[in-house]
Amino acid sequence: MRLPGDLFSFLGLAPRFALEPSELDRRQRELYVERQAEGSRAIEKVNEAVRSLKDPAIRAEQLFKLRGWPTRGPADPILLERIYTDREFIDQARKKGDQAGLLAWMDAALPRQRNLLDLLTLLLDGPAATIYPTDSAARRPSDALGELSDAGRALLLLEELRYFSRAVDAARAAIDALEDAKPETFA
Amino acid sequence: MYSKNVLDHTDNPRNVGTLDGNDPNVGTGLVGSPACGDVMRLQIKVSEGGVIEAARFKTFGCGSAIAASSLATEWIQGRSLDEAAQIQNTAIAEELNLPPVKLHCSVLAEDAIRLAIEDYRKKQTVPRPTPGGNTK
Repeated sequence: MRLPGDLFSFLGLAPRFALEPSELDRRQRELYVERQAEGSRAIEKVNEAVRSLKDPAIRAEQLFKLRGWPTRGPADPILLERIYTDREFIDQARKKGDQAGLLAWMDAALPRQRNLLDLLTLLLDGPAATIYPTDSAARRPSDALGELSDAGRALLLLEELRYFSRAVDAARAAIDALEDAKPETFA
Repeated sequence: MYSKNVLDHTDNPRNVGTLDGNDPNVGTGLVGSPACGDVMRLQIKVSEGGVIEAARFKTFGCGSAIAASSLATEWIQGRSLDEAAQIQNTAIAEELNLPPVKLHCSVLAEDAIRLAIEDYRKKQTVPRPTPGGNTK
């Protein structure tokens, strides 16, 4: 299914990053009524567009495109190293059945992910404000970060969000798998 | 959905593992796919004669990415660095019969080979400590 390039205008929504899933659900229900006469193809497109925009990385990408900012860049080696370390830890913990280790990783990870989302909200929705360096950016020389444009900073955040979200997914899947493997207990 | 070759390399990936990154004869390539968040690490151990005697990989990603890196390690073992550097992503994609949406996995594998070779070559230009430790 080919979706239109601008999902916000397709759904009749103001382009913004801080968009709650409940807002998208509400708009989806409105569009079911508004576009009912157009048939099932139109409804499928609405569903697909809503599903896409619920993904923060896709939402950010859409907003980048509206601004003419690049959505792909050369990978940051420091970020890749860190993500690789995270993924390897999750993989090992899953194999060892270290559920406590996975839960501890997750406890530390969720604020990190929240922080990335907050920073992107600030950069994409707010007035161009001071932006805190991300973990990976913090290790760069500060003057180099200062020279980065908003687009450059935003791209670093987006890349980190993409990789990091996948690591969180992997950890969640590992926790679920270990949970399922536990012997049943009867109360 | 996936071809037989992909399934074979996904279910029985060859050469999964790690080589000692501190070994001067080992080159490491770490690459990622920002589109899907996959990360792939490919390492090579090069003999005195410039031949890749061992290749190992670890990939955190989809089946196609695992298959592409598994196949890549299989292909480069026993080849010279120059031969390995010539491996094209299209050949990997063709061998695995990757669908268009998974072509980027083969690109990732090609990049990983290239970076591992670059890393090895960079290490060779750094003077090694000489046994005996006599410096001028």
